[in-house]
Amino acid sequence: MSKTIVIDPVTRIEGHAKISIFLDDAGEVSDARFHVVEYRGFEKFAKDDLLPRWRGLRRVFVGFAP
Amino acid sequence: MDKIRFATVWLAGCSGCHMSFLDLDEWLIDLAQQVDVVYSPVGSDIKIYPEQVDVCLVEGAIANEENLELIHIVRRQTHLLISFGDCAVTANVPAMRNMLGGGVDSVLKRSYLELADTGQQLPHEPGIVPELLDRVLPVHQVVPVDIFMPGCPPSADRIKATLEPLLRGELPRMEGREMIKFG
Repeated sequence: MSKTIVIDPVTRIEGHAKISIFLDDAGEVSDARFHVVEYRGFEKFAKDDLLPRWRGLRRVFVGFAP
Repeated sequence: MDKIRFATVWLAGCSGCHMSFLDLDEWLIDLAQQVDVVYSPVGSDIKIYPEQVDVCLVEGAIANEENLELIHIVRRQTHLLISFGDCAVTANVPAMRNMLGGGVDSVLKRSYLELADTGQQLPHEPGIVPELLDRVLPVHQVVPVDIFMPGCPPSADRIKATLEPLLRGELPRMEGREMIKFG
């Protein structure tokens, strides 16, 4: 029987994530995926015309990189 | 007296408020002697929010279905819920995507199709990747909040000044520039 082990949520990290580990019929790992489940998207939707206006806000985008 | 059951949660935020909380440095040792940390992304590996929590600091806004589900559980199982930092209080930076208008489809299309350099594809993994809400909301628009602690992030001093009265069984006075300044 193939089986999936899900680690949800991943703790002791900055941010939100899950991990899926896929086992095959023999119980061996056939694949694993790291899921980033939070969407922020500033770097994409602030591209081009919006960026100059947002320059002063970079400080508050990531708490780890003040 | 039983120890205060203390939790911290982060929703849609950058973790900066939790980093500021860790800036309490040696006071955290005092705090640890007076509370039981029953749930916290920086202080435990507990994955399910427990029952009968006395005080919970909630960082971040409500941006997706999982945030929404968790905040309802937190509210139901917590005596005193504190909106911790500007994202929880106003939705702040995560809510910038609200300005694009058009709800969740337009922000996803903009990021993953229009502006993607390679591999244009909308994220879709039911049960794993939570659906985004159309608008990012501050915590108090979803559930009642007991104390608002603004700041981006709130300084360690402000966090301490909010928690210390609670440890004595009193409510903090959220007044004046030192306690309620945004940014």
